Amino acid sequence: MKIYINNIEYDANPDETIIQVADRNNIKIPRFCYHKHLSVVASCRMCLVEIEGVKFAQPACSTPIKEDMRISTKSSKTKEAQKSTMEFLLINHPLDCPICDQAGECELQDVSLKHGDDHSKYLEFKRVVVDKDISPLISTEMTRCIHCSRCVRFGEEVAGNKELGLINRGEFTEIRAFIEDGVSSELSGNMIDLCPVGALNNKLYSYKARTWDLKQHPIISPHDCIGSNIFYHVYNNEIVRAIPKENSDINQTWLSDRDRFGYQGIYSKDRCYVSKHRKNKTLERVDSQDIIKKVNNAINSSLDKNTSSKIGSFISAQSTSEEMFLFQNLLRKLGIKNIDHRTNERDFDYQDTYPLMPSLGCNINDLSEYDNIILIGVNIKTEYPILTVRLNESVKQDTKIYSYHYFNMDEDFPVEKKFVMNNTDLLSLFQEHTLESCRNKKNLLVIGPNITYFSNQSVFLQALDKFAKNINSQIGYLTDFCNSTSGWILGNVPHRTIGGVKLDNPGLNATEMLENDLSTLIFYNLDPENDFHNSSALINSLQKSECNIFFTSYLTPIIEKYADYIVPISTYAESDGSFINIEGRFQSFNKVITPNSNVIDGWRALNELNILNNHQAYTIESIRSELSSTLSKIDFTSKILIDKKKYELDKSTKVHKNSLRHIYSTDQIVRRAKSLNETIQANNKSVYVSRDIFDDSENKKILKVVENNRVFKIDNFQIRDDLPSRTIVYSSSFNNKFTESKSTFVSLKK
Amino acid sequence: MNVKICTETFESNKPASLATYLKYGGYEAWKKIITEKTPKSSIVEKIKNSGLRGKGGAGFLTGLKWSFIPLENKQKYLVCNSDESEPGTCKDRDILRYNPHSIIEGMLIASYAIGASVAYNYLRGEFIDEQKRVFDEALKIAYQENLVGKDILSSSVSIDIYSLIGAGAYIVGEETAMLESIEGKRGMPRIKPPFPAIKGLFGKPTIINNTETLASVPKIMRNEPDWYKNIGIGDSEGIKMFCTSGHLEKPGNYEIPLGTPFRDLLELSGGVLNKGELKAVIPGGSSVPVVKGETMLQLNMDYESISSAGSMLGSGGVIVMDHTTCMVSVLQRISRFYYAESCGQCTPCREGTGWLYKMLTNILEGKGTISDLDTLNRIASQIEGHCICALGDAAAMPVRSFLKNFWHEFEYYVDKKQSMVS
Repeated sequence: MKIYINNIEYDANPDETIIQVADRNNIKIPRFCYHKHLSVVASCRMCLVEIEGVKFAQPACSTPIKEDMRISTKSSKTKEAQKSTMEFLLINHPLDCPICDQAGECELQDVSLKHGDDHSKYLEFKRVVVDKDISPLISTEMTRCIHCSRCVRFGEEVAGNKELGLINRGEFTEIRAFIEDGVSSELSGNMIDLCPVGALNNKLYSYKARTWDLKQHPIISPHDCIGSNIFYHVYNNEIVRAIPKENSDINQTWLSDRDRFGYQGIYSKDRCYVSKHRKNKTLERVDSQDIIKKVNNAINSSLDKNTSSKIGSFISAQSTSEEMFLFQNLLRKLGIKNIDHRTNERDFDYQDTYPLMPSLGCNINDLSEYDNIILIGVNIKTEYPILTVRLNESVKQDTKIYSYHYFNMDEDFPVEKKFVMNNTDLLSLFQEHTLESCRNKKNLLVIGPNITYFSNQSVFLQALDKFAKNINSQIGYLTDFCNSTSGWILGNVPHRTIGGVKLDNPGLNATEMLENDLSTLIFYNLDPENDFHNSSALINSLQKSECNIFFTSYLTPIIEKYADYIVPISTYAESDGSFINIEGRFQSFNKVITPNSNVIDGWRALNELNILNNHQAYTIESIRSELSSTLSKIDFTSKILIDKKKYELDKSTKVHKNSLRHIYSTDQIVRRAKSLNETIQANNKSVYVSRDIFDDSENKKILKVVENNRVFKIDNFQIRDDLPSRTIVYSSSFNNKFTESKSTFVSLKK
Repeated sequence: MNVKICTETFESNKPASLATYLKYGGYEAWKKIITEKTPKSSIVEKIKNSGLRGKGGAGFLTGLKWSFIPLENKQKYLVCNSDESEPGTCKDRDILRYNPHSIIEGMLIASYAIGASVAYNYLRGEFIDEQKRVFDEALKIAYQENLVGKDILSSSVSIDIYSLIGAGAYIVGEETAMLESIEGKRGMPRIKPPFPAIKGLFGKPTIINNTETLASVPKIMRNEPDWYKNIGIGDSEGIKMFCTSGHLEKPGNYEIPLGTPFRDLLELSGGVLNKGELKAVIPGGSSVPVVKGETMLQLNMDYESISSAGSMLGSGGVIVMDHTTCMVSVLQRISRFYYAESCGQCTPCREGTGWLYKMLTNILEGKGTISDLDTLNRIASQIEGHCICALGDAAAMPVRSFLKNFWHEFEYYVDKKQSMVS
């Protein structure tokens, strides 16, 4: 089909509207309510354009094109119509640009400059709207609102959680949360971007800088394995806010709140800014020039004294691929095999049959092609909020979503069926289970990180493999850290080296390292309080070990108590780095801010150690080129045969103890992001107990739980009737009061 | 010719009862249709040929509207628009309470003709006490008599009718806003296209007709299309209810053939109050342009004649004003109505209606200037044609017509700070 805009012929598809054709051909039409990812309401009337043969100017966003339609975006009728809308929009707008954070990037300001008048005839009182405190993340100045309703439609259509709506009529129309509720969506920050004026603002950025003074740096999200693209805005070497960097393959134009506000963790008071070494039982400050040498001496003297098998090393899967590459490169060249990134796991029997690297099994863009998506042990709303957008899209295209979990949690997309069962029941279910509605369909089974925490993970994975075969489903994984993929493929596991090459004599895994009384322990980028499956086991081995070396960005009580060497390293934004997302997409970024001068770039610290041991020196470029050549050689399509070893089904009547991955506790950065931890979600730090456990207990005030022969008292718990039987669930793994395993079987003491 | 259609039962002892309606040939057409299984297309054709036009305001040909409905066998809906809120209009109110069965029969025939199995009657919020009660009672009896419901009179035709009550918003009288409201949403007009006949209630093809229109259908079906066509005087076809109000001796509802001279309607209404002088008439509800009294006396009550004077027949709400009326004051009051009733969706209407009202209030308070009059005209023209629905136009048209016809009176007011008539 052909149409003419300003007398130039353009090709168009019959189902398009004028604005779509104009946008594609870079013809500017002003707009406020229109957004390419939201439904069309045509209410702002800013995009009015003249159409030949039509009496009044028509909205470009809602008018479907017709063959040979002639549109003018520059005629006097168009200009008059747009100018008049602009006049109406401004009569009740406060025009307080000098004190508005939006100024400089305000759509109203930009459009009024081009299409508005320089003075107003309006002499009446302007409308004033009382503000509401809707969220710790969003500040409001509702007098500035122009009622485009983008925020309302976003909540309804994209986030799947309508929390803002219009109330009242006419001039008194207000955008408001329901009665006194606030906005609690995990994607709420997107409303700040969508708001074309300064009505919904970034609370963290309030009065921090003027937009035109900011420098924009691209970066990749370190908070989940989706790898959302972000722009950090920097003022005076400080990150003052984050906005999405459009990537149609990953996060489109959206960001989760965790990705948007998580950077605050960089500025935590826990940050470690000095190198330290323990002398005579006290930590003493060491010059940052010397700390690497001291650490090198400590490792080498340990190697001299003991065998390399007495040295254990842990690295966080939140580390960059460059750090992971250098970490295993250094240790393996020193002969140390005990390397692991899976600090949150307990059971490793599965490891030989595991794929080379966890993967979603498809591209994020392709999720809507599946007939059924079966979620196992994962809550998308709180664990991978950005995927809520994609699953909402998928459901609109007739994908059905099923969920299996030991805890009943809400999702912001329609779930066809929910199965809430405890570990044992789920396990027996999967042995025989066939989801009838999934037969002969295109299915994707997604295994979430909660499964990897199970103390019987291997049995579980085998049962899931059987289930997947029964319903002819692909298997995909979602991991607990942003770079678990690199952890696997770059050899930060005891049984495989870089590229996933199998080792004949594997080292000790994360659990074995803590159980084998090692003499030297190296921790890279880990939070000992929260990043281990069982922190009391960790403390035990820290006490026994002779030398504990921590490369860390944060100081925690355990580090301060047990560290012999502390190397203050950069966070993700303070150094060059790369993450491999769950699709297998390798995404690199450059340093955004320069840290305190005593903080050492993570990869440089590791590189320095390599140099001190006369190994090859690397630059960021040489690491990346080595990584890309390694990754290009790997055949990811190769399937690993599942081990036929039979697992005994645990039929004991023990109690299942689990802890959820709390949305704002998933990694050490976000745990320290102040504003996120003031949200409603973050406040939920309870212990839930199933009804039968409570009924069985004699003492109704205090439950006594026996785990590893130790008795723990739970005095502040909630009974939940929707919990499966024999289950205790900690709503957050970030709970310092309870320091045993994240997921295990316990017994109750009467 | 003294033909009555909608008002036929009004003078009876028990106007709303089924017995009264049957006495006037009620439900004959409906029974005939379901027993003879009249083809749907022939009903549509008959209504088309009768020249019946929508009585809600726009005057669109009813048969033509019905013919837009897709023929395929899918869920469809009929909605009867009884959200009569146009200031000056009170005809549907009386049909609902004095002749409810004609609406029910009209809804049944229309539903049958378009293939809808469910019909809704949406009544304005203020009708909750009397009209809703009377209509619901009539509906209950119609259900009892199996004139409505499942397998009607063993004909295997099933049509359900539900009545709903609004919450008092004028805008819900706009057909797509009404659909939103029925769906349980905020009553805001939808963008057209798609038109309701293609994608209406719950996304399904829907026909929305005014109460009076549907109440006229049974009698047209009982007689021949030409019968209705010939009622009108001259080129005008059919009959219409006019609601006369204002400075009149006998204001009320009068059902008269289209084309009847305005003089006759004025006479029916007892003439101007206290034999006063006719100053101005709003011929079709407050949204249409005002006409000067002397012009109005030359006009006939039909679509063409009224539009030749730059106004519209609209809903039939004829507001008569005598020489004691202050036009500034009237316009300010009309503007206040649209200011209060704008849904707030489109910018020009949301912001413009308030501006118009505030300026007119200033003028009335003696704070206006002569340039305000130009600004009023300009604002009104900026609203007109630029909104999703017609409420913007409805707010703009009175302003422009009052200024055009009574400029001198507005000029006097801003100059002397007082009304020309007081």
